[in-house]
Amino acid sequence: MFLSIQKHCSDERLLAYVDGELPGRTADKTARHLAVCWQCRARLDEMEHQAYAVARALSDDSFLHPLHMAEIKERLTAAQREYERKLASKIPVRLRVSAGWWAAAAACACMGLVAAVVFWRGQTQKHEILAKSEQAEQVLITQPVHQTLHVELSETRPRSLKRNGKIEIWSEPKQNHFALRWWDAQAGSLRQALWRPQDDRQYAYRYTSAPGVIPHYASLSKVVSLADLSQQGVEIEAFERQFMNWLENRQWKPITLAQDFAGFVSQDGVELNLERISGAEGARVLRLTARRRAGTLTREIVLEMDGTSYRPLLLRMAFETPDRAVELSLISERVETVPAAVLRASVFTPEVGLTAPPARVVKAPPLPPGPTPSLVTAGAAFTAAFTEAELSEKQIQVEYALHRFGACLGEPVQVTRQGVSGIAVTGLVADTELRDVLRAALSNYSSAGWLTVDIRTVDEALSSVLAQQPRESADGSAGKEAVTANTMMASKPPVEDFLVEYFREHPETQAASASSADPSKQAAQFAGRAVSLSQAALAEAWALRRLAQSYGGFSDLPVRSQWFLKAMIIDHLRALREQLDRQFELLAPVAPPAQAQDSDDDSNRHWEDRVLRLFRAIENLHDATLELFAGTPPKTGAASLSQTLAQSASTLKRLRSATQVVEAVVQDRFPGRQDVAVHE
Amino acid sequence: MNEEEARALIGSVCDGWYTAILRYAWRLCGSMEMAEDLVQDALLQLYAELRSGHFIENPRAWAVVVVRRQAAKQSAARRQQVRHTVSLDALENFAALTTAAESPYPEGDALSELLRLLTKREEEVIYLRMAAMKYREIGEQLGISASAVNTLLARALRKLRAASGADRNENSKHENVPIHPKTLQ
Repeated sequence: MFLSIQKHCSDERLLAYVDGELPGRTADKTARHLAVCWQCRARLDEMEHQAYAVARALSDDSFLHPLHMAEIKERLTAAQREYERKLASKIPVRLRVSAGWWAAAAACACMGLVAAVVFWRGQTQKHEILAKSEQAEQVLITQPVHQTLHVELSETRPRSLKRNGKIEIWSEPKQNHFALRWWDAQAGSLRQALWRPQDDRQYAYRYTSAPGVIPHYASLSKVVSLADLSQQGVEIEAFERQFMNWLENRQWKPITLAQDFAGFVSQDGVELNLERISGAEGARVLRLTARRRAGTLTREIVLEMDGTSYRPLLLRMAFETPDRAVELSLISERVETVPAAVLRASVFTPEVGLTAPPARVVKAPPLPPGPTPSLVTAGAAFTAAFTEAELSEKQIQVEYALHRFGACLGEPVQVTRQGVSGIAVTGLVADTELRDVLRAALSNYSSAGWLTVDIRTVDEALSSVLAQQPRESADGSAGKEAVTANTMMASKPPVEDFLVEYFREHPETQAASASSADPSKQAAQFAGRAVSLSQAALAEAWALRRLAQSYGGFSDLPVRSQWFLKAMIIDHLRALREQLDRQFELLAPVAPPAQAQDSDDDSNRHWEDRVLRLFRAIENLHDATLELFAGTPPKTGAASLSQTLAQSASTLKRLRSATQVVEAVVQDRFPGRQDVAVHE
Repeated sequence: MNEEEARALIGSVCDGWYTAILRYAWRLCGSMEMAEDLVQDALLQLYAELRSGHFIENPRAWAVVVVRRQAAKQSAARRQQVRHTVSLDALENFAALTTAAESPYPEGDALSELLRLLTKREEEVIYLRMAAMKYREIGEQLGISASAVNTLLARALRKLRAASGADRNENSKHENVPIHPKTLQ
């Protein structure tokens, strides 16, 4: 008690006392002290006055102009009204400062919720879209269809390679008929084909497979998923091989882009993304991207589909490792359902031209006189007239179709014009198989109405002739041919003695290829081979001559037709050169060396002149060969055997270079593939 | 709380107190326009809180805390901005700029002149105490102890008393008294 009176209170204690901040016991002590201490009580009073003065000064409204104060209150009231209005319309009020925290928190929560919903919905949406897309192409499996796809196969690392092509599929699911043809855009040749003309007959072709069309059984390779395409390596050749395996393993079904994509998506570790992009002409396009990583290999498959119909448009497969990258795009060009009645059986039959070309050399005999051939026309009767240029164009198209199946090599099939209304293909072929193939090849054009096709086998032609003409006439002609053949074989080839002598002197020369060591047999084999090679060369020359005679004069053909023409000429020239090479290889060891003859250096000639000259030279050579090896009566003046042989060998050499010259001229004269593309 | 009640409460908070909180905001951010925005926002926020049914025991303290927090945020944002935009000319006129920044009060305002005697902390403690906050609550806001708040407040009042012409001798006599609160216990 004494102490509390003696010791004065500090300002802090007094302040805390009046502010009620002192703990109970201390407050009591202070109260007791204040009760007895005037000084402290006076100081406390002073302090309270000071505090009050400060508070009053700080709250003095005169600090602000009364008008301003009124304005502030008005603003506050307006803000409150605005708040009430937004509250009524359930829109959260936007608070400028502190409320921002709450707003941000709420926004974050909402975004999180929305993101979760979007993610969940997105996931289901992607699969829904994919399911719709699969549904959209269901028609491919259930209906008879004609499907066309553009194929782009490219390697971007380490090399830069690109291959374009077209896959054409005909499918008739009810009868289990199927055909797939993959055409190479650059070479215009088949890369792969599959045929299933009947349930129990299946054929396959690959440009790599040596014997051509082979019966196809269930493939041994087990490629069933797109993800396995990189199994043989990430490079264009291996990738293509594997893609072919994949095509062969599709159970004779058209290419279903969405279903194959779905198969890939269903695998583990595949991430799926959906984008909406705008396609050509502002069309809405949906793009699904599925990506899967395994080690260094990244597999990305993209499916693009129409935004409204969900019809798949494109499937792109990109396989990448750090140092390699390949890509395969399948772009759907056309899917059309075809009435089963329209589908021709020939569509599903293998093209014979794909097999190793048989050495069919038949000189074109005139067509036997007979009744007007029955026309194989599918379309309605066609009456329109064509211009000269249009006719030429169509004629070349038909020629090219025949060329693709080897029907230009000696087969007596002619392409002629029927006035101004169209083109006719008439001719004889050796067997029914080739006849059907040619008819199928030309069916596209004949269904358009401007082409009439009459291709028959020799038997058919003969039977129709026999039905009308006296029996002996037919017999007589057949007998005459047989006699000629007998005569040809009966006389002894003049070179035989020379050859026998040669093989006797050089027993090692033909030992490798000849089946017998007997010199006379070797000589006979040698002669037979020389004649057949010469005939093959002549067949190519015939085909060339026909093209030169038919189209040599035209200078204003359409670019596309020019390209077709060029392709045919070059094909024949190369085949001819090959035959000449073989002939030369055969003759060169036997023939004595001869002096080189002057080569043809007349550079002003047109290609058709050059081709005709080439043909005459080859014809002469063929005659000479026949004289030498087949014993036909000599047309040329007598010359020694060794001289003739030597001449033949040097002619072969000269002609070989001549084919090269003609090829260069043709390459120069006609437009390239790029020109055609540009023109179109 | 319904609309009428909320408006009435905000009105009572504003009456006789609006100027104080405005001065405080002005002291914090240095610009009267910004200060007005801060106070308006704080009051609107308070209104929203009341309308949404929250019970606020001390609406003045609530508003002053909101103002203080927002002012601190704005000041940080402004510092960031100034740091990016300051030019060499500004560096040359550094002295003039800092002087201007340190004296945001109008020359003619006597209270403002008086308050310049206090440190920022002391002034802030006065404002917060005026909002009827307890020492502990003020300490929490400023990051100091309740006894420190007590000391700052007493010192601020002492300074103001001295400046307003109180008896200096008596004050000085009391100031020399060693303050040992524990000695009384």
